[in-house]
Amino acid sequence: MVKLFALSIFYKGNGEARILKTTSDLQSFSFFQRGTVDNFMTFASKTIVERTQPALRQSVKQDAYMCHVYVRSDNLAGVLIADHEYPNRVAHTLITKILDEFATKVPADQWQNGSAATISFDMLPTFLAKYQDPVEADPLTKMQNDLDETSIILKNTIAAVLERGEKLDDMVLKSEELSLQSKAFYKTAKKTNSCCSFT
Amino acid sequence: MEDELSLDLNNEKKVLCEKIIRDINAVFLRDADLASFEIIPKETNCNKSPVIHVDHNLGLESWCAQHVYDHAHRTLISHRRQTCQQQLRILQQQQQSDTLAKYLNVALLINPDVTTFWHIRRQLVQKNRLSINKELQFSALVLSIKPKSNEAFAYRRWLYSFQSADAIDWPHEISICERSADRCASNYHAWSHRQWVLQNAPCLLQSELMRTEKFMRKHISDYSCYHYRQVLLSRAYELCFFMPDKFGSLLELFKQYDLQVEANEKSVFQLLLPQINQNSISDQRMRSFLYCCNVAAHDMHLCAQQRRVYGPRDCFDLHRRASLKFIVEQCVRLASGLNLEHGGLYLPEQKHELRTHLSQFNFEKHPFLDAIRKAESHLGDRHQRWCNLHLNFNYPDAVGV
Repeated sequence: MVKLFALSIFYKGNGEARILKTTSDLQSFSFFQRGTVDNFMTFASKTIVERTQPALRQSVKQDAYMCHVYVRSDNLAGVLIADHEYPNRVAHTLITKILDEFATKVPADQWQNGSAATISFDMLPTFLAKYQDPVEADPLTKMQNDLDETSIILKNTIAAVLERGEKLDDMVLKSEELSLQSKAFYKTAKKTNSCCSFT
Repeated sequence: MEDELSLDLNNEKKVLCEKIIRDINAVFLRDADLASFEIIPKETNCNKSPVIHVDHNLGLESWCAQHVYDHAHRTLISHRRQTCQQQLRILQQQQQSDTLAKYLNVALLINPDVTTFWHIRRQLVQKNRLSINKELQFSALVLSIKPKSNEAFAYRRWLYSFQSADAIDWPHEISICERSADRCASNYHAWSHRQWVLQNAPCLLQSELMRTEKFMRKHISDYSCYHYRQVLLSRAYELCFFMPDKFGSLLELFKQYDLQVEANEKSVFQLLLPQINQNSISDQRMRSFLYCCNVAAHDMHLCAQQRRVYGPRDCFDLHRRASLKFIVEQCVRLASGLNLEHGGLYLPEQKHELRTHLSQFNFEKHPFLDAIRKAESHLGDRHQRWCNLHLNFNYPDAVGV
């Protein structure tokens, strides 16, 4: 399936990444899963931003999902969670564009201490909807010069992004962002090998 | 002493299960527009009702699912163990069949694969204990938790057999198929059901051609939808379906092969089938031929385009081949004077007859087919072998491999 799930913008401070804006399209998940899935997508996005060096692009595969991340050299970061069939190059084009847009609309002094409530920037849903169809959103010809695909680092699992000694299970357990329900979900999903968690 | 304790526990469990089943039933009675059911992962009993009902969505917490199912299953099986007369007596009484339906609802939502349970429902419908509309809704609910449930699709077809075709909301049925196919890849049960819908409601042909293309663009490696589109196209051709003046993709194909043609139906047809006497086939057949070949040419183009965006995939190659085969076969069929008076394209006799004509067909006398033959030869050995096998292109290099 060619599909986009979530798009978020972070500021990567010292050690911690701060979420500035986020949007998601979770219609394809069943009703009671949506909250948990949203929770996990934010958690995964934040984790990956924190482990990506500035001026670096990464695409991390996890099960059927692909987590695309780009941290600019000024520490502004964008994360796009898509299906693994979505073309990497278009995903990164989208992130670059949305970050450019964000940087022109929101002054840099708001990045460090801002939050979703204080920053007014409402273009994420429009971008997410428009890019659902990569062919429509970005005609092949004009894009090819935009982005050098070889600059994207590909990783096969989230575990490959983690630092030495870190374990995903422990991080999920300790995380303060994940709700109790999401943690329970993670445990059961792992057991039944269900499709909707980042295990 | 110990026996008593376990008896007590058993009793307590039974009471709890009964209560949960009652709760679920209450939701059914209260909400006529239930849209989905699912089991919510939760390992422990928190002393709250495990039945959750939000915005027409029904959830059951996972810790109790097994116990509730066991209980419902046991009750239903003991019903089936009775003699036929006893079973019949229960079905004839409204109150007792309501109780039966209550267990059936829960059991089938948790495990939709038990044919016996679907069968009891059928008996209840036949005795007028369950309404057809409610049953359609229930089977849609089952499909929300298990989109691949063939039992549920079969049950829907059975229910529709009691209604007249004009009274059925076919577009709604299509949307159920589409939702199920979207939720679950390679869902051939859903696509087979959709074929059945198409068989009964040919008026949907045009919208189906549009919808399937949209679906293919999204589910790029799910061959089930490509296959349905192939069936759809042959169905359109069998029924002589056409829309006027649609040959843009064919013109594009001609351009690729350096064939010159004027942009009108007569000359396009002339180029496709030069030796044929245009009066020998009906106007409708000719236009349907052009329209369907144009759809196939459009699909070949689409596959090539998708390949450029997403890289090589089996689906693109296979569907391109299927579209190519459609064009070549229909050209040869008409050029050899085969008609479709005797039913479907894919009846064994029809296929056999076509094979004989294909093996004797002289491609060199035919500018369009010859151009295709030349162009396809550049696509590698494997493709050449396929063309030899299925289209009798007789490429010399690949012979005998």
